[in-house]
Amino acid sequence: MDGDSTTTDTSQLGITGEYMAGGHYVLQAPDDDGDDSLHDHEDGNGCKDNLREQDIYLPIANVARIMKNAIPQTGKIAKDAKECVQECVSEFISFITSEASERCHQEKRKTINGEDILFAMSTLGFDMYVEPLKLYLQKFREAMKGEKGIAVPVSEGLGEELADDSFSNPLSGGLISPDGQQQNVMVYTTSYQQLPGVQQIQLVSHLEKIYLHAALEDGEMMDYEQGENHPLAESLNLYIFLVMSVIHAVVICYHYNFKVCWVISSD
Amino acid sequence: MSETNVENKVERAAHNKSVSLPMSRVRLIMKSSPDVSCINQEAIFLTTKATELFVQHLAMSSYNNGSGKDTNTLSYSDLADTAEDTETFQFLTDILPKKILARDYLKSLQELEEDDDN
Repeated sequence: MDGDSTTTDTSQLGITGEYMAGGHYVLQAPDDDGDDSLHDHEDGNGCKDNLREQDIYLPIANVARIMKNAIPQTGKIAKDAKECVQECVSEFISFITSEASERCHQEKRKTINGEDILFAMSTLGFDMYVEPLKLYLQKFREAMKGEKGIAVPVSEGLGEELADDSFSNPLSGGLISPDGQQQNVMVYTTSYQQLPGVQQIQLVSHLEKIYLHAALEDGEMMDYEQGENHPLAESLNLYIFLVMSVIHAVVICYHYNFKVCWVISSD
Repeated sequence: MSETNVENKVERAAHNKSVSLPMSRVRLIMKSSPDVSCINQEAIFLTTKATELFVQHLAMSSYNNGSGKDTNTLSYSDLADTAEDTETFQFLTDILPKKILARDYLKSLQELEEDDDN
């Protein structure tokens, strides 16, 4: 019975808005199961507006923590309330972004900056946020200045962070054996652990993917959007790549007791 | 050890920026809006901080205005009520519809049909 009512709820949600004048309503099973209603609510939204099929939310733990800090210590929060605020947050972000984006387009600019966001806030009735946000922005700018002073170590740090993944990454090397056939040799580079630069080099063939990965993992570390790399880091990586390629080739030769290396050079 | 030095510096910078929401995820949500090409790092930070303030604001308003004070619990209906009552949160009314029982809905549907017939 409950199962039937929930499925009919979903189909009727589309009708709800048209029949009920003024308010928007969502059907609730008589036994007041909050979670099921929320599910139907989500399905209803998916049916109504296909653009929301890929809604992305912020992690519920973070959201719940902020909520908890806002209400009195002894207060509790219902589970569906947490999920609901999660959705509200995504809606809020989209709301602000679209307003800021519109302003950007009006002024024929391509990049949304901090000013656009602040302007959007005051336009949409969140002007009480603007002053505290300006203070936070100041702190942020100071923190970023400090970070830029250590730009090189940051890229090394990037390599360090990814070190855990890179230990067992085999690096394939092309090799021409004495009989002239190319062999693909898997060289395990775990012996290079000590040098942070080398760790970074192990993944140099997938450099863009890694920067994107790091950006997704920890947005604070990346100054640039996907597709743009810090120029200093990029040239540094290129330099390291060239140097390490040479060293790599030499090491492979040593591994095969000079023979192959000398065979190639004698040809 | 250079490793720990770098990690410390990054941690300190992140702490100074003091965001408790993942900025990368915020950027994803921002990019999902139509006609958005590039977003400045400052803009992402501001949006993240604003979102934190928003959550605090919403939670506090809903708790104080709703039945939270009596039952000591913030519930979905508190949020829905606040969305409708407060002008700032009007944009949430679409995703925070109020809930009614199925039988009440069917009753009002019937009444509506009766009105149409008359």
